[in-house]
Amino acid sequence: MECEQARKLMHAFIDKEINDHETNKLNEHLDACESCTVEFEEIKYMVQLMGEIDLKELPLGFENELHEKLIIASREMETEKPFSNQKRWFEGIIERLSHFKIKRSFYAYAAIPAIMVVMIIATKGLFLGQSKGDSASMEAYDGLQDTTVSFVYGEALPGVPEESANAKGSTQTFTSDPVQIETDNLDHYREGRLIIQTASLRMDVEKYDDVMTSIKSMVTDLGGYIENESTAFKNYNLESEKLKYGVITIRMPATAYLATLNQIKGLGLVTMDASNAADVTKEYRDTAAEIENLKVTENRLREIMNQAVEIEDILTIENELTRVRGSISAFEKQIKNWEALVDMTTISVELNEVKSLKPKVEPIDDSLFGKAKEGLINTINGIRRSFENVVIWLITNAPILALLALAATLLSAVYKKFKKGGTKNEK
Amino acid sequence: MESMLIEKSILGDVASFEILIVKYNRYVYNIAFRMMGNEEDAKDMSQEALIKAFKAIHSFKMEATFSTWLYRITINVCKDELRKRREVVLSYDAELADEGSLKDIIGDDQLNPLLIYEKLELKTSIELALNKLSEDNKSVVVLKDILGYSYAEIGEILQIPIGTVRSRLNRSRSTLKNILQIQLADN
Repeated sequence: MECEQARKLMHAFIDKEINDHETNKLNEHLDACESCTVEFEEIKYMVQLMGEIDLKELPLGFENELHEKLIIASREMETEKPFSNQKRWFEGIIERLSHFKIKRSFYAYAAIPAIMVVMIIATKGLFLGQSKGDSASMEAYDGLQDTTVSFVYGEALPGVPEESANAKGSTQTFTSDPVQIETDNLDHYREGRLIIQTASLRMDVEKYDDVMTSIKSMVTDLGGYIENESTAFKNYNLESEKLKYGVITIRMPATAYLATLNQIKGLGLVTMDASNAADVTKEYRDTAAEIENLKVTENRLREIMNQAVEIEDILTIENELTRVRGSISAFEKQIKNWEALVDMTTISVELNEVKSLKPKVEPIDDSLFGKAKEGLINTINGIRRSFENVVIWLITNAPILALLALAATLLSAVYKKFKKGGTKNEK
Repeated sequence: MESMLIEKSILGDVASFEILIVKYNRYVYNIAFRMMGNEEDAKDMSQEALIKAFKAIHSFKMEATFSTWLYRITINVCKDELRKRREVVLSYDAELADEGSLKDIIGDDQLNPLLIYEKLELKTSIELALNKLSEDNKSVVVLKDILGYSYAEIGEILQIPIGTVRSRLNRSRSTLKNILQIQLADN
């Protein structure tokens, strides 16, 4: 064996990653070659010393520092995530499309029906808008703000004849002038989706009072409140086993909704679980738009009011203003109501107390005699009860029975007489 | 347990990730320390590696063990940093570490055998000499001789075939020994 080869093998030998055959060859060489033996011992010693090098302890505050950096990293990831996901999704579709080896011209052909569909929808929407009148004004809010407002405006002023306004020398061009709703006005409305969450649970519990208390403490801890609560005893045969039944409705902040639900579910055996999320975003936005429209009308009315001279006109405008203000506050109330419902989710829990959540097991130590005795008692009780019933029946119906008996004796007496008479005549 | 923590970490749960890496933190730090050669850089690089792992954990395939994957990231982060630094300032030490050139300058027989030196002196000298190895050489020696991984595991971590691990380790140790002998002779 050459020294070159032996030097390769000695490392493998030190690392115990060598087979027997190679070990023998190496040993043979080392016995014969002095320089390789020195090299081998040196390397072995060096490796041994390196193995003795202790691992360094983590520096002080390493984990805290890392924790802070990780938090920052996770925040960065959160902000990047939606964008990159979307991008990935889009790329995925492109990739899948290209898998089908669709030629470019196909895209052009595919675009034609797509454009047609868009056109049909667009024209249809336009016709709908014309025929539906005022309801369309709400739907068109997003895109056609100016026309919407003037439309509503015109409708909201039935009491003010245009001629009279003109006759007063009013130079205002409010009828033709489109009014823009300032987007700043919409700042105090909520952004994003508005979802009203409600859940109802039905549960079997062992310790009704304990569960009730823990639900209540959970509610106060998490910043909610109890809207409704009722408890009643269940109608149960035995006095000793009085079990309760009750309903509790709690209102929780939206942030604590899921946590609360999960916690409550852990308190007993859930027999029914229903939850509902109503998206009121569209209604909310529509109502918000309606309010803004009405506010514009209100401002216009006030302007007209300033210029009105005749008492009659003033009264008409006053009436109109009252009506508009009334509608605004009604809508605002609705908006506030929705906001409250979105903020505070509703969870109603029906609690049904049971003796045991575990399935009932028949007592096995009941002896045959015991069972027979029970049966016998049952039978005797049965007999006694039916006897009692008979007696009760007899006593209750005694007057009728007496009358019946009287009638029966009379009848039989008459019958006998008649029969006797009959036979006599025959004789 | 580990796979559950990984799944949670993929969803961005920092706490799960911290539980996941708590076992490996020290190894990551030690690898970084040997690669970088000082505590300051070791801390920065190991933290950078762990954060990189957190950000990239969704790309972790369960086929490799998590530790292997984590150490690979650590070594790569260190290598990148060292490469970056080399581009800025040319280090004489790194030049010295280039194997081959060393052997040309000094023949083996001119140096004293290692066995004549004291153990403590040798140990401190080894740590110094390690820093003078090139990154690739350093990584195999650190993984094999200090952290005690097998050839197969090292191949997995560095993503190189076992044959390469073997030859690189042989070369690295010989170079290390030479550097060591020069150092000791200089003293």
